[in-house]
Parts: sequence; structure tokens; C-alpha cells
Amino acid sequence: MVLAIATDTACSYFGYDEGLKFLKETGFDGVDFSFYKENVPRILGDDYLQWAKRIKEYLKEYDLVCNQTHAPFAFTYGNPMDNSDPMYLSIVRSMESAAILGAKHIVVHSFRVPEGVDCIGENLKYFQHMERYAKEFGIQIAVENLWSSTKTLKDHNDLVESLNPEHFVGLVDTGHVIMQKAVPEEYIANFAPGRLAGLHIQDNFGHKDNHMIPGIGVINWDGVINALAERNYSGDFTLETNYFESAYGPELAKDMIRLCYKAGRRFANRLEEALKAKEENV
Amino acid sequence: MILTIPTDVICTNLGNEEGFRLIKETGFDGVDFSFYRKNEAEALGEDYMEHAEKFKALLKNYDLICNQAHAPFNFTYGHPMDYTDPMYQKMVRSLEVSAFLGIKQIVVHGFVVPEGVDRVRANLDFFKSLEPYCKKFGIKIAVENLRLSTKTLETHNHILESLNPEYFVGLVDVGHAILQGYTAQEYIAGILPGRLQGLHIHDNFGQKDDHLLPGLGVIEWDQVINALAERNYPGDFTLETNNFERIYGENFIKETLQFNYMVTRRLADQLDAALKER
Repeated sequence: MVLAIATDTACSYFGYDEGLKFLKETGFDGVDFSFYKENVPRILGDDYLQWAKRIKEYLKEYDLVCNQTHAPFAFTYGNPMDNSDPMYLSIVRSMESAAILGAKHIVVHSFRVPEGVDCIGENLKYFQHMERYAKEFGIQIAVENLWSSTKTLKDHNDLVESLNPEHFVGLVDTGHVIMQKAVPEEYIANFAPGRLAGLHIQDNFGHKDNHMIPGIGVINWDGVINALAERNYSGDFTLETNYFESAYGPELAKDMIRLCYKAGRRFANRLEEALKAKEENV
Repeated sequence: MILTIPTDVICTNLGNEEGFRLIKETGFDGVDFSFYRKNEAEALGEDYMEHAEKFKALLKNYDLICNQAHAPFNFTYGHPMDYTDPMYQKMVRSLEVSAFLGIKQIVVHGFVVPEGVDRVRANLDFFKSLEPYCKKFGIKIAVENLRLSTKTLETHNHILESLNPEYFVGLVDVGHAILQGYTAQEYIAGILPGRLQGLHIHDNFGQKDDHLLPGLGVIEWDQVINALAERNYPGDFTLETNNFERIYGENFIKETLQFNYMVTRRLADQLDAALKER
């Protein structure tokens, strides 16, 4: 099972070269490349393709896969869906860059809408508009659960199932499920059949989107592992534990990430065993 | 600055010998001896002094100090305050064992009372009933802030003021302060002058008593350090991060403990530096 982590903390604190090298040395198989925060002006400017090539070189040098990426967030409802909107432009550029890095899919956030507006309908139009770029660059868009837009499992399923499966996949963020007042193992079990291709693994305490190391919060991880095995989850195990990693700033970030690796590997191994056990029983 | 950690999770999962060894190897100066959960039955039974001898030998063997202890916390309002009550008896035994281990102070929890009962009066009666044992064994009781018994800083101070300072000291649990509606620094700054002798260091997110590693939650640690330095805090830096240690079970305690040490030694050093500068 590929164990990956968002590059956000490591690369923000240590730069792309040292950050990616560190993630490899720590033991991660791959990275979820974070095209957000300071990365938007930094590597999604007019020279974005040069940046993409440079990052690809680092990934090659450190023998890391880029299993997943995360687009900048987020496009604002009502803005023009073309390159005249800086966020739209950044998202499109991140898709092109992600394809160069060899990522299978890129997470693009849905957006919130004013009261009275059909949130799922508007987001559906937005994602369908993005389909042309997914096709052009050869990358899939992963639609994630967010408590401010895809408020319920039904919303999330409706959105994913209305999109072309060739270019759109589903992603479950375990921490966001809690913020949606739902149960992660139930959410996973009932997610659109055949569409779950990615995960954001993180934990919280039920009140805020804390992005903590799995195991520290309220999520029942045995339940999550079992639910993933039950549906023969074939994707990767991708951590999005950014707040935990950066809780003490750059001085302790490497130690925090090492701890995330140890915990993440343990859970990923358990999932792998559960999947194998299921295969043998079949 | 002496940095210590409760024996609770570590010794419950690894056993006393292995637990003490790991605590020492990790770098902690000592332990806050937990006379609750597993230890309540194990260390406070009829053969409690035999156990005490073993603990003392382990502390010596691993060159650890035992700066503080925590009494069992199951004594409830309305029970007789004498040896006919098994919990009271265990409480008294924990005082005796603590004194034998060379501990300066033992935390004894206040209790909740039914509606209509004078909570402060009942708790004062309870603490005062324990004073003869403090005198007999030569140990102090640390009175901690708790959401349900002391409730407010004012009540905590009133209880401390009403108790003999020779045998009762104040302890601030920074996580509990948040749940009582204060900031931790406000609470520290407001505790009765001259009575603050101990701490329970942990963090939470303002909703539940999470007992997490400092820095993960909402507590402003720079402010806590400043408040402690401001009042020339003379005590130790005692963690109560039990839920962080236990997150991944017994196979992961070494890693979480090492990590805990790295984070909290930094904070303890920061406090040391602030005190020296002052």
C-alpha cells in the first residue's frame, strides 16, 4: 500500500529539494503535492511549467511517486470560469503541472454558494467546465467531501455520480466526514460504488477541522480500515495531517512528520492485511 | 526545571520496571506517581507498604525522583471520612506511600455534591479530615482546579485560603482552566499568592478534557510561561498528557513518550530561561 503525505508542511518549511528528500528518507512512498497557500504565487505563476519540471526532477532523484495532488482552494461562486479569474487560472495550471508530475488525480475543492442557490447544481456546472482540462492534460479530478458545499453523503454521491467517471473520481476526507456530522466508516461504506479512488487521512476532536495525526481524535480507525477493506479499496493511503505537522513550527516539524509516518504506516499495513485477508476468504 | 510525567499509562502498559526504565532513558527527571486506575488496586491493597518498597527501589535503581503523586479519585460525597470507607482508606494509604517515596505533595481531588448541598463546605470538611494524615506522614496535599468541584478560580482560592498552608498547596491544571472558562495564563496569574506549588501540564481544544500534548490545542503556551515566570513559580513542570501517551496502545508508547519529552523539555527550558531572566 502506497503511503503518501501532503507536501505542504515539509516543502513550506524546508523547500522542495530538502522537503522531498526528507519525506523519502522518512519512509514515505509518495507525496500528495500541495498546490496551495504560498505555492500559488510561487509555482503557479507564468513560469509554472519550469517549476513543474524542476519538481519532477526532485521526485525522480528521490524516487518518490506523486500519487495525488491538491489544487489551490478555492474558486469562488459567481466568478468567471475562465483564465480571467486568477484562482481559475491557478487551478487549471495546477492540473497541467499535476499531470507532468505523473499524479493520477488532483483534488479540486467544490465551493459554497449564497443561500437559495443550488449548491450541487452550481458545483456540477463548475466541474463539468473543468472536464475539458482533465481531458487535455490527462488527469482525473478527485471530488472531496467538504462540509460547506457537499454537506451530506447524498450531496457528495449525487455530485460524483453525475460526473463523467473517465475524468472524475471520489475522495473521502475522514476528518471532514466528522465535520459533516457523519461517521467515517459508514460514509466510506455508502460512498458511490466504484468511485472511491483516494483518501485524505486525518483526525479531529469533533469540533474543528484539526488535521491531526490519525488515532489522536474521535475517529474509529478500526472501523475505517474495515470499511475500506470491505469495499476493496484500491487506492493509496494519503495523509493530510498538516496542522499536526506544523503545530510546533519548523523546529519540530521533522519530528512531527516522522511520527505521522510511523502512525500512518501502521494503519496502512493494517489496511493491507485486511484487504489480503478478504481476498483469501473470497 | 524538573520535568516529570505520570506513571499512569506508561507503567500500566509496560509494567513498573520497564516503565520506569523507559521514562529515565527518555530523559525525564522523574515521575508523578499515579495511584489510580490499575494502581488503585495494585499498590493500595493490604500489602501496600511492600509495593511501596518496590517502587522506592525502582526509583533508586533508575535514578528518578518522584516529585508529585496523584491520589485515587473515586471518593464521593456522603461516604464516611474514615477507614470504614474503602476509598477513603486507599486515599490515606496513598498519602502514606507518597511520603515514604519522598514525594513533596499529593494531588487529592475535590468531589461533586448533590444539589442543595454546600459544595465548598463539604470539600473543606473532606480536606480538613485529611490534615492529621498529612501531619502524621509528613506530606502536603495539592488542591487542583476541577470543573465540577472547585468550578471557579474564586472558589479554588477560597478553599486554599481556608486550609492550613503548612499542609495544603495549590495546583493549577492548565487544561482544566480552559474548561472552566478561563485562559490558562489568567488562572495562573489569579491563583492565591504564595500557594501555587504544582502544575498539570496538558492541552485541549476547549471542549473536552483531552489531556493532549501541549501545543496541539488552544492553550497559548508563551503566555502560560510568562504568567508562571511573572509569579516566580517555584515548582516543577509536571505533565498530565495521558491521552497522548495512550493513543496508539502499548506498542507505540516509546515513540509517543520520546516525542512528548522533546516538546515538553523545550517548554520547561523556556520557563527556566524566563525565570532566570526575571
